Amino acid sequence: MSDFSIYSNIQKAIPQQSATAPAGAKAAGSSFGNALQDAIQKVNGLEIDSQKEMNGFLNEDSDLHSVMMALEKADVSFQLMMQVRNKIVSAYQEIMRTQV
Amino acid sequence: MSLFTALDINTSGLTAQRRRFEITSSNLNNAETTRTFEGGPYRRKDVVFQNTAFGSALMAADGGGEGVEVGAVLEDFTTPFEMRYEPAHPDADPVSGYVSFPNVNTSEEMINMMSAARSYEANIAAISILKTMINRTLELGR
Repeated sequence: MSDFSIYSNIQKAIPQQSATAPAGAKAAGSSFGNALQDAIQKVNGLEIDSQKEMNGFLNEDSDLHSVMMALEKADVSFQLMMQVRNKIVSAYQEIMRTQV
Repeated sequence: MSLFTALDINTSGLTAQRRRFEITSSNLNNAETTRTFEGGPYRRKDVVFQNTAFGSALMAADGGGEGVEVGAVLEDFTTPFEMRYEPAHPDADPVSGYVSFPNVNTSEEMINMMSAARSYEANIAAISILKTMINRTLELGR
């Protein structure tokens, strides 16, 4: 599941965005970038959980259904993240199409 | 995430039913066991389920959202051992010639096993319905 290392790169990218934003305008805790970062970290955490469960199953520590549940949670949260991403991208494209 | 509380509750049910299945299998397999580490024949075991608190503090305040777990595995001391007259058996009583066989009723254990399997299936069905609900909700964004 090394594909998910993309998350860490996304996480690196987002703080740079919020750092370039006007400093006085927004509190650090409430910016959209931070919220997105938190959400992505949660999704990443669920992916890591599913990986742990998988390892536990292979070491005969956890049950088959626990592995399936962890995978399901990871899948659902990943799909939710993709929906949010699609919304962001479409909003961005909408703005870029604005006639000046 | 509260989205997954129902999933967690169903997972606890799956774990508990699987444990029950294990204990029933153990009873069924030891229906003829006359020697144990503790001495004497095998004694049939029963699982006792108990509820567990699950989910957020808000849900606990409502009194809802409880999972299940195996609270204890208890041995059955009520049902007597089955006495069979087999003087040639190595574990037979030298005086009377009777052998104590485990207090396992095979048909009862089969019923227990089917009940555990059905409960497991019911949990699986609940999970797939929940999955459909979540997927339909995600389709709102498309």
